[in-house]
Amino acid sequence: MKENVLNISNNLFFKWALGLSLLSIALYILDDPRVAPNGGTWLGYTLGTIGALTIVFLTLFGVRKRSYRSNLGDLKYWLSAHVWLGLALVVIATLHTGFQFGWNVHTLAYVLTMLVVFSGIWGVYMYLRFPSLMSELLNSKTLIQQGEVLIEIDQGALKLLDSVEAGTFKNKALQLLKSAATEPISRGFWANLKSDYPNSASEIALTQFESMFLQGEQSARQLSQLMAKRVGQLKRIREFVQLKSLAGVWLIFHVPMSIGLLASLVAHIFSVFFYW
Amino acid sequence: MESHKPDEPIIAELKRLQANTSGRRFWSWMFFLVITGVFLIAPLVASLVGDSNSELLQKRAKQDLVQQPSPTILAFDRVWNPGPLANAHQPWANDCRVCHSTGFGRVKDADCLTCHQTVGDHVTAKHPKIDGLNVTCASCHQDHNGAFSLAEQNKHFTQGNCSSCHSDLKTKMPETLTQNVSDFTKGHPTFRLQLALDPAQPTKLTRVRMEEGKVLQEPSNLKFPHNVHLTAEGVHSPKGIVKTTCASCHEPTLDKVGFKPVQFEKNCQSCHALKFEPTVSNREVPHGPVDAVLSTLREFYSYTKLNGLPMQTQPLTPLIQIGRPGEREPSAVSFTKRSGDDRAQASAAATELFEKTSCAICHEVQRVAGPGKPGTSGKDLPQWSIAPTPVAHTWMPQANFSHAAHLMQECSSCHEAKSSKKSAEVLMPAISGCKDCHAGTVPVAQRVSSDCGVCHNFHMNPDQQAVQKKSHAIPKQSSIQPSSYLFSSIGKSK
Repeated sequence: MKENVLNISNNLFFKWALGLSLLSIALYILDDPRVAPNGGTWLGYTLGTIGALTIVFLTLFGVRKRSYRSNLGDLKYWLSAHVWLGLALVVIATLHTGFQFGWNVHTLAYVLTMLVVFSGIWGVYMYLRFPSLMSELLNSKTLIQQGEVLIEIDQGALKLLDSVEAGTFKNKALQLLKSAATEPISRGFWANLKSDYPNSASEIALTQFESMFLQGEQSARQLSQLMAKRVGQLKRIREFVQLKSLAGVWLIFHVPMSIGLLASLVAHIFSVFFYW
Repeated sequence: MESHKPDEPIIAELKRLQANTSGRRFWSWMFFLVITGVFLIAPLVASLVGDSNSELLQKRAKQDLVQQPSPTILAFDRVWNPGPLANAHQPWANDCRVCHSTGFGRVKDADCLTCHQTVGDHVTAKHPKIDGLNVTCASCHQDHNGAFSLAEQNKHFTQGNCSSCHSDLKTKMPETLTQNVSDFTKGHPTFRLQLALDPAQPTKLTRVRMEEGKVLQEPSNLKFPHNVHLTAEGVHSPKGIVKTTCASCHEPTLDKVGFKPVQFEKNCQSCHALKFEPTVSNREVPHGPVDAVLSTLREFYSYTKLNGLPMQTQPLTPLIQIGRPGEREPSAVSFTKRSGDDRAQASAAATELFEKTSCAICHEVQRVAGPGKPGTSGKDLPQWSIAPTPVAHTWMPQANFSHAAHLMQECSSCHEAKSSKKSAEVLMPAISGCKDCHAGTVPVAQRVSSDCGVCHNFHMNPDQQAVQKKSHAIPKQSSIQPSSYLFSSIGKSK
């Protein structure tokens, strides 16, 4: 199997995370707290300490990622440790709670931890899947170059229309080509994420030209072929934009949420020892 | 090389879409500030500046037990509450400082004792400090773990902690009278009972350890054979043969934990009547002080003499037997027909009553020199003294034993009353009897698993402790009325 962020160094960090999780589960099963399992027993404090240190380490990944000159371990090892220890945190933090939840800062810290970790799982999926999908879509070109293909199509279509004699068809065709050419690629934040574009002007132009051709308008044939190309190219660009937006949204979720988690963790630890 | 015109709208849009999604920094700051503000700063400020604080401290200083809930500023610190408080503590759920008087420290005993002033210590005040027992209230009582009583919470988590000291207590405290105990089944000494060993000092109680196969004696100065009253054939009563059972005399208290004191008037007199002139009258002497009995007799015979016996010459009801039930009825005697003055008649009646027919049946009666109590009409009669009988007391006052929990059992499964010939016999069952049904901590088939907390409390009863401070004796039984001088009641009285 190809080495990637998950199985790097012969599954080194997976083994660590698994070991840590199994050890936590074993201790939790063996421990017989006086009243009820909770964060305040010796095991609770132990798991809490391990969990807090893990969170600090996971957050340091963001620092290391930006320290381009750092020699402190290869970034891919950091990422692998980030992923696996993050998953182990699900076990450690859950056992630390002793399954006691409420509307308080303690459960808030837990919920934020889980949100960050589970968004991280989505992040890992994107990290492994998106680069190849995106380079396939770009097909050795830049996004701008892919955009230029659209412009070329539009210009070619206009050129075709030059040789058509003026009349109703030409007016209609000009109008269709214009609205296709001026159709914005993005329809905003949510549309980017869903990549759902009903009533696309390019598609309307395509179907119109097709039906005109079927009604006997010979000039519409080449135009419809060009519009079919345009629709395909637009789809390619929009799919790329979708992947890029998903990755971007993930970052503005995962990172700020982990900063929020750090704040709630500080409040959690402070309050626990303030009112010990 | 890109050949497009720089202002081509598609290219401009793509350049925009190509840029990284912004907002990471903004949302990071937002989350950081909001969470820090709401969950750290606001609760902290509320805790430190809360106006209840000084008020509470004043109340503490005045030892005002009834503290009204006085929340901190908008109860901001409630977001720090890690879980439901014990139900008794919930009124203070919005004022953390009621219990957490200082920041960055565990809850102090002083915080608990502000309200819980009467809670007893674990050992006698002779040993206020024991090495290894430097526990605080919070060591055992952990709040925020659910809305139930903290005492209940700890009752059944005691075993390991108890035996960590008590399995080797003799080494840790050589002077202790408490024996080593590790588990109810595997290592528990026989019971120690509080007994009034000196009938002259019925309230001075001494702890005596039971021995297997031996019945402890507690002098009672009473003649009460349980076996005679619990025969299969029944006993003779004015109403004929009556089968008396334990319940005929031992009436449970309302909570059925223990039993009401046995009273002569209620439980004995229907058979053991105190008649003194049965051929003439149904009058009985009171079951009370000697002078009251003598005065009754003196006044009765003076009256009959003075009035030439105007009383009903025949008994109102059929004769009630005055001898011991089951024995031959002694012939009825009438002292009104005796020669001599009224005082001689009363003296004869009193002698018969005290020494033969009534008092002496149950009591240790002794003739003493007169005159009697000044100011009473019976002072010129012969005088007697009745040996004091013990005040009802519990044998194991610290034990959590409830008869209600054992109602499915016959009395005789534990108390061997049917063969007891003397009232001095302490009919407390031996520990081996308990073990027929109760196992220790380790579950055993057909047995009730019982850890220390099933029968024992960690905190001593404060009354008990005050007494043990002086000696291993309990003098105070003030709740018992003089009229209920009686046989020892069974079980725990509250």
